[in-house]
Amino acid sequence: MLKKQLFVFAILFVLFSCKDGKNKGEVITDPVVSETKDEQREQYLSQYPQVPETPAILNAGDTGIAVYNTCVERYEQSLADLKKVSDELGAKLIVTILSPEVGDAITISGRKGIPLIQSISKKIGLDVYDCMNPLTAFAVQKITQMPLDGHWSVNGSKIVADLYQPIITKYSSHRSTKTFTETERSSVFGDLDPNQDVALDGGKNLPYQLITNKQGFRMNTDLSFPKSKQRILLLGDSQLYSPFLDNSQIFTTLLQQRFPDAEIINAGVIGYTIDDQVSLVSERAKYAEPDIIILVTNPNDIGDFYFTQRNKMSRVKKAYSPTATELTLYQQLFGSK
Amino acid sequence: MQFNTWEFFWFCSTVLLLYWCCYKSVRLQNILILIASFYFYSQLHYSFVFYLAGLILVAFVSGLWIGKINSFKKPVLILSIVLLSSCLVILKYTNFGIDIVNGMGARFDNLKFLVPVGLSFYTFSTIGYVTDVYRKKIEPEKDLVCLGAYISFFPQLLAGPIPAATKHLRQFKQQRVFDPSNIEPAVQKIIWGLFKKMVVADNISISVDYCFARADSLNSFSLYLGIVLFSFQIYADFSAYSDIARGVAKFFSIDLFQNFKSPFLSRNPAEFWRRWHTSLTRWLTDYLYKPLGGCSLGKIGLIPVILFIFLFSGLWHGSSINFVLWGLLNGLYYVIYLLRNQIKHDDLAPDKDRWLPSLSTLGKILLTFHLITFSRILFKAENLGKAKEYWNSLISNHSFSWPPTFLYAHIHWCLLLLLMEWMQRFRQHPLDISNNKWIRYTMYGAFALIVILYHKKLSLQEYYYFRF
Repeated sequence: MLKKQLFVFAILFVLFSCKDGKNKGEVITDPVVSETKDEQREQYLSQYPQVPETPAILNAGDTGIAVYNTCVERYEQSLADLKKVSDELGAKLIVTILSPEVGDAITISGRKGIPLIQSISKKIGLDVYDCMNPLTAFAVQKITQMPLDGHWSVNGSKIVADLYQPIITKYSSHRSTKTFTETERSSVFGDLDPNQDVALDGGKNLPYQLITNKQGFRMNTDLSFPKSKQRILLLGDSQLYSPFLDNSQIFTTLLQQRFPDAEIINAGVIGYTIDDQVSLVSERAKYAEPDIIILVTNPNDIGDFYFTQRNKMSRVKKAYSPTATELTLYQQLFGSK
Repeated sequence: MQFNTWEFFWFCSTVLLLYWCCYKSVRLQNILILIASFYFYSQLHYSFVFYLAGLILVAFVSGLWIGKINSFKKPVLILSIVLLSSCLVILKYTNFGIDIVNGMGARFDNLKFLVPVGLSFYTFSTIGYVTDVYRKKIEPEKDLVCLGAYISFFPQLLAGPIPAATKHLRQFKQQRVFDPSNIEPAVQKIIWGLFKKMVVADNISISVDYCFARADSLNSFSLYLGIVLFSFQIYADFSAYSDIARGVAKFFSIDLFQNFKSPFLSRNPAEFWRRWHTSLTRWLTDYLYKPLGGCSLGKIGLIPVILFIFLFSGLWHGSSINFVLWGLLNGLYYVIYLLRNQIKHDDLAPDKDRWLPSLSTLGKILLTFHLITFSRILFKAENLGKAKEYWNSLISNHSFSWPPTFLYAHIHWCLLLLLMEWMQRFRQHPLDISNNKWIRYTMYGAFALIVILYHKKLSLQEYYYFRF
């Protein structure tokens, strides 16, 4: 009798001790905000499953150039939208161009993308900083985890923090005007699962610790209200998120240590491009009440506007219809399907 | 095609359906097993099937040859063993040899080999077969298909249990009929195996990797948790594979070795090795320990034999200095217990009449667990330098900081595994909790539910022992 009771206890122990019920896997690769299924998008995904790299688009002759130009237009529109959202918040939007593909490792995407992003930003009226140029002084192997992975190494992360320090200092006096009441604010502001402390390895045998705060950002502390310090929100993709580094090693944490009178918020999510940032800020991140918004953009973000990439990775799971030229390019790169 | 995939489920279901459709013909069933096993193996890499086929052929011809001749049997046996082990030796140990020679000043480049998964396991299985024929424990098998099915049987192909020809070969020669009473033990083993693999092992594997990757910066307590978790990971992972293999084989009405007998309840290292990877221990005992003299040698004479067997076992696991040292360290544990007369051949589960272990039993269990666990730093670390780094930080980095949450977030699964094994130490299986079938079914359902709810998602971790 006692034995059976003990077994019942064992089962109850299991079920209650795991009350979170949620399996904290690698949510970072697909942080879906809305689970609604768009049939058209599903159809595109099955019909056009391949995603070309930006250099492949640029090397695909006239069709590739035409598609790239379309992507540039979409990039410009999204950046303008991001500025509009930032302005509504009273936050200062700053564009920084950052990628470890520098020096010998620079691709056609970088060579074409950097001046384009600079000119688009200036046209819209945004301050823009090329953080890639100073990185040319370093070998790619020194600043990334190459050959295992192309994201920042511990050393690279420190160098990036050095590059961002003067930018943050320059805007240290700017404050936004917009605030939200308790009832207006949502509980989660970022796209990562909140309150995580997990070990991940992204399938590359490079384990790292991911800590997220209760608002779903990759940072060790929670944001409280009313805010008492300047808030700097960084938006970006995996170069900002910094996979394969612990929270204590990523450049936003290093910046936080250098700016104790500010709150540095890392809202990076793998695979995001500018229109994802627009929807992230409009729907969630605005509740962080940022004073400065720093967009960490990569020249590849332009190519990310190709319709198959958008249908696959877009934060808002809606259908992105291809133009005739995009379809032609798809057929050129991947055959009839 | 791993056990815990839908792909394997559909493959296995199809093979089973066909298998029981031709229940009237043993030969047809064996042909089906052979084809299915070769298909299963080819899914990893097409080239692997050539090694498997080659070894089966060599074992088949050697067996017949040894069975036929009356003189020069021993040279033929030695020739067969050399041939059978040649693939394993060349593919797995050439680069180790090159590293040793380079260590003495030479300059040779390492060679690139694709080592077939499971090669160590089926090489031992074929060597066991020809040796048993030589010893006249079994008749040489005259049916190539039967021997092929026995060696290549897909549930045990990649990571054992290593079958014993004296015990298991005959099953492939007998009429096998579908027995409904096999279903429950099969399901029981599979559910328990899935729990150990998908809930225990997979959930802690990256935490363990993290500890080894950050050994230079984590404190002693975190590193202690890391190596304890690794002990659970490797046990849960490897024993899960064996359990699922046994469960799947049971559906074919074939019994495989019980490879693990609650090893964490062992009270000394000798008992541990009788409970851990028993099919390898049996192989080492039958084909190394006994020929080298075994018990007849006396305590002192036994010492070099024990050390040699553990060294051999270490090298079987991997071709690096880490595994050599790991084997020798475990051999040393064994020898110390042997010299202190603390090795008892008493494998009855501990503390028969008690709910909780006595202090003495608990002390022995904990000491054995920690001895084995600390030796595993050598087993897990990439190289000797990393093992030293881990060990040094473990004993010297006493700075206080609370360990990362993920290091203890899944520890309750390890405790549940241990609790079930302790509670069920007198029964056949940890899930065999009652004579009342409805209570048992509820238990199976509960654990199936745990697997569904709490398995690690989005990452299919390879079974740890595939690398050996």
